Amino acid sequence: MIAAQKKMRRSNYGRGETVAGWLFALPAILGFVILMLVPMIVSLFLSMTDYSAFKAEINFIGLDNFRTMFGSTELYIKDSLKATAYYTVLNVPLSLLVAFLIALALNTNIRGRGIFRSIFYLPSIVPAVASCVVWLWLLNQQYGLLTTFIKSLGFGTPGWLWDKNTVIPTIVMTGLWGTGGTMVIFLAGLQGIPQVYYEALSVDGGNAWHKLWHITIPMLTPTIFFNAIMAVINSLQVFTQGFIMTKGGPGNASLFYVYYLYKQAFEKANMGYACALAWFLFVIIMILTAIIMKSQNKWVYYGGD
Amino acid sequence: MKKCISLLLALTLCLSMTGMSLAEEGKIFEGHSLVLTGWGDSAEQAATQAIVDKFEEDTGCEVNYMCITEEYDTKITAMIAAGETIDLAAMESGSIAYKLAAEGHFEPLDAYVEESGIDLENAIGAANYYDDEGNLISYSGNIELMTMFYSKDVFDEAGMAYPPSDPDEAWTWEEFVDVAKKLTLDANGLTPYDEGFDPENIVRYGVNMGFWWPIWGSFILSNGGEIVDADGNFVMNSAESVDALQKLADLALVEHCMPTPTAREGMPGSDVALLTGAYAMVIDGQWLALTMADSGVNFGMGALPKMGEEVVSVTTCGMNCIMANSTEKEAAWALNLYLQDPGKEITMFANGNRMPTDYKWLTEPEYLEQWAGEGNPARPEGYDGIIKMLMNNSVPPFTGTIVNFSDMIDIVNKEVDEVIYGNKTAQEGMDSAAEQIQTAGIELSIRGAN
Repeated sequence: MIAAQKKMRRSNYGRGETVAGWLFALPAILGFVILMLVPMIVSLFLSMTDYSAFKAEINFIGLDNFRTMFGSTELYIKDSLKATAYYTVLNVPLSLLVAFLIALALNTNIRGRGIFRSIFYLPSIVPAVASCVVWLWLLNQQYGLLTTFIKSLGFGTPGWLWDKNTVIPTIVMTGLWGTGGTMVIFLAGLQGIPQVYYEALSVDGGNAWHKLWHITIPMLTPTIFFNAIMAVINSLQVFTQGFIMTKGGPGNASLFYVYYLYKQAFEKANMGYACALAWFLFVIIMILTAIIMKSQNKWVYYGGD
Repeated sequence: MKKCISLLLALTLCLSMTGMSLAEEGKIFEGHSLVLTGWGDSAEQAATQAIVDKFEEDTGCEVNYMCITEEYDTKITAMIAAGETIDLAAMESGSIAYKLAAEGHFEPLDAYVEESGIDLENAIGAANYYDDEGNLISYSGNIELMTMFYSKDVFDEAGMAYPPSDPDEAWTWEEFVDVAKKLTLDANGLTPYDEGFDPENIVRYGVNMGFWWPIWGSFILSNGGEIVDADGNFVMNSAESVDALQKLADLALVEHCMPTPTAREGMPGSDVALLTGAYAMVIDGQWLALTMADSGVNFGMGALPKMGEEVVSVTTCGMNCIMANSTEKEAAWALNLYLQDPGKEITMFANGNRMPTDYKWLTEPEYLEQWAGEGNPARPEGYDGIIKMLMNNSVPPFTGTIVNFSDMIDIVNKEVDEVIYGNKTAQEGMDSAAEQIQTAGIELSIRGAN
């Protein structure tokens, strides 16, 4: 009798815990389901329709949207893929390198380290739009601070955002300013490296370069790996700079993929087609992420293993 | 005496009753409400709000006026997609409007015009838009055209005669380029005619203009070219059109009397540039007169130069559409009449922003006086020539005349960019545009040609 009661109480207790667990997780689960899962399923369905904001009815058209994407009537997708790929190839290594170098510098025992860390992190909490507007002024062809500086060095006026050859590198440059988030992760990684390794290397007569090459970088590969994946995903989804600073120009030189998708959805009202574009990008990102994941066996070193 | 008093009393009674009934009759839309959307800067917003207030007071109709200053098309698209109510909407004719018209989103207005006793023959027809079936879908009482602004100070300083304002006496292209070059100065005070002129350090450009369809369109038409011919062929790669486009690009690339697109990015707005003498002349829309007057520029206005036989100025005009699913169409139409009639609210006409379309307002002195009178800073020397240009030399906006304009212009803009940057010749750029339009399967035609 007592045992049965105990058992019941325990199971009641267990059930109560389960319910509580679900309740605590509910906000996150609801958020995910309502704001992510449902829209994703709907958008997958819409990508196979001719849904337009202007039309009353929605027709199921199978894979026609995807055929259009690769068909001859689609004039812009190549430009947008090219611009996005160029941006990604340039931005991923550069932003990682810059963030890594800043993190290294901020990991040393310099005076005012806390202040420097805050200052270098600060740009990444500035809203992207505000940052774009500031950059537009810095790069202004007539009065821009950077333009004037380059001119004073005798290099002539750089075309910056208004020359199709320099627009992508310029956008990458404006993005490097806000690399604080990546830097903080590097910093955390750096601090996780046990000092004993460095001490051992010093005893063996290693110099600063040896420390970097034989300890810091190998020990940091999991962090580099994580940051690389995030950088690739974020780069492929670049939007704000094209939208605010260049409107995709000059020509289509900065017509980033997501900006093109936005134009299709909200300027041309081709919502169904825009959904198809979004799913294509999703597949590209998934494949690239899978490749990087696969490659980690070759170069990522997890200390514990 | 008694008779007199009773008569007076009767009269008073009659008058007060008429007055009452008038007031009651006036509030014809009491209890109704509608949504008006439009774009515009703060001046335009304030003037529109004033008309809306008057309309609310006169008719009793409640108006929710939404002034959307940025990403107008995007927001309208989202509102329509979400099924939100819009009764009367300003529409951009070059982007989403005709796609909406094709899906039957706009109420045909022919019957309304007739009922209101408006004779469209008595006004500049270019301000009105028709759908593919020939139904009137937008009625406007105001219009804009491309014109020339110049700094009187710069011309006076150089001792040169002002640009002619009468379109019949307009400069030829060669005369125009000659003046523009003479007024262009580098940091050492040299003009492009002088030896040692430094195109990298120009402090004053003879002319500036934005490269969009009404501007290059005006010169292409003046040069005898076309955008789309009567059979629906894209003909911007014809000899006349290409010649015009190349001449425009060469102003910057060869003659150095206009900023290159890159250099233009750093220039101040046209008003400040004329004020400070960074430009001598500006070719832009008539509406700029408002900004010029506001900034206190000592400016005059002139006819566009002619590339061929005659001056051509392309007009532009926003659309005013009543949504087909509106439940307040009568009230929306009444509001549109308030918004379009200079007689209701003259502010936007008198301050330089708009030109009226009604011939009465364009020709009769008592009406002209109200918006373009002498001493009005927004209607400077030479403005009579601009009115003449509107009456005799203007053509309707391509957005209304070319079917599938919005698909075509994306391709054309991209190639025009290549031309003005000097990456391609006008011929190469336009041949490429023609090829892309064909590849993309964009079917062009002239609206109402068949």
